[in-house]
Amino acid sequence: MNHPRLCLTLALAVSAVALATAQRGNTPPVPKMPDGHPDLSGVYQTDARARVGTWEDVNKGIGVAEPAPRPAGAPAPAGPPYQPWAAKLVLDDFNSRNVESATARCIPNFMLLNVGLFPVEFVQTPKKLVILLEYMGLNRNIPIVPAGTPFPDDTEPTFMGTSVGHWDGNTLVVDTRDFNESLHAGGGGGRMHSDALHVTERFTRVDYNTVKWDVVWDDPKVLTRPDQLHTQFMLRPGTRVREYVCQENNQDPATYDAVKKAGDLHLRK
Amino acid sequence: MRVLSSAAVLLCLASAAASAHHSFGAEYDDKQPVTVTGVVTRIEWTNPHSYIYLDVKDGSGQVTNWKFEGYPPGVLYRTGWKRNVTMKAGDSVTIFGWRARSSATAGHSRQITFADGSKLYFGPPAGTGDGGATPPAVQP
Repeated sequence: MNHPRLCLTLALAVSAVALATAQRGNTPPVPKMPDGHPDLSGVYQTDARARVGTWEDVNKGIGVAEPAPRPAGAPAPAGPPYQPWAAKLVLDDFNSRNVESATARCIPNFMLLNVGLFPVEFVQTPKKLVILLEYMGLNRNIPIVPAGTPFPDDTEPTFMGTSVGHWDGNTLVVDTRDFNESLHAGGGGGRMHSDALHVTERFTRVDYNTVKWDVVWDDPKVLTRPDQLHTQFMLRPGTRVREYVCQENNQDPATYDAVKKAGDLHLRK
Repeated sequence: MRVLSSAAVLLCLASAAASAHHSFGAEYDDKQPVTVTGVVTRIEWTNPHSYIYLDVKDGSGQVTNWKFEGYPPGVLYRTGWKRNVTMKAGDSVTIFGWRARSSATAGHSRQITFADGSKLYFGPPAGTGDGGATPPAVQP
């Protein structure tokens, strides 16, 4: 079983147990909009941690967890199915410790999965889902339209792409296209991608505390086949999305230059 | 449930926790941990990173001003910090972190120990955002 699938299986199992626990503990039901669709509104932590509770309780004492050591003999998690040229670029970035990462210059790329250090807020109306990301102060403005509505024909490439959503039962399906190319996305919570990236997300509030997020990541210029991502967002009551102006005091480019001038001290040997 | 949650966290954290504004390893050396004690001279409570400046006295009495990088303000609030309350200029603290590659008096902070012995994290673990210890695996 590959890494994403194992994560999905575990996440589903955890969600099922969490749902049963929540039902026993009188957790509120999944909120509904006046039109009967689920209401995704809330502040969430976007990583795969399954624990229910406030941000401070769940993360208490650890800040951010130390990376878990891989058990001896265990294979490395399977990565995206990159085409050879893209795989070389990713390996080059690894060996140079992502010193070319655009986010170190405060230039964002499309992200939602890998910002577990920062909250995101979903604000939903019957015709729109707005996602506010604390990291980089980004937002996504997603109209909710009837299934089959043509994708807008007046878009231009952007860092977060253009999104349109529709309901498939209790799942909000979000179609996002027309991205800026982002080839050096490591180190900043993103994934390298081309301007041909097409992301299809399925948001399902499986219980009061949990939004399941299933993604098809299709990028024919970069990948050999579409990739899939699966994780869940956990509700964090009482958390506020705070301001993040990346340009305020960004000293990283100057430090990177100093490291390079000192003899490329950052390169992996 | 606890065991299952732990397993899920352990297996999925590698892809989930590596969120940061930039690469740790591009600027700091995780093979060079450092612990210094001194007096806080200035705190920059700013995005995308906060900084602590610290006067550190060596054995001969020479004082050197160190600079340590840490979390941005939003993360610090959620980690238990309050601006101008938790730590102020003039406070004596001990900082554990890792040395910078390009400066002998700079580092990346992880944990702050206050004069009363209490501790808080001011920065993420070593290696955050630089890809970890093993090359990325690529599916065929």
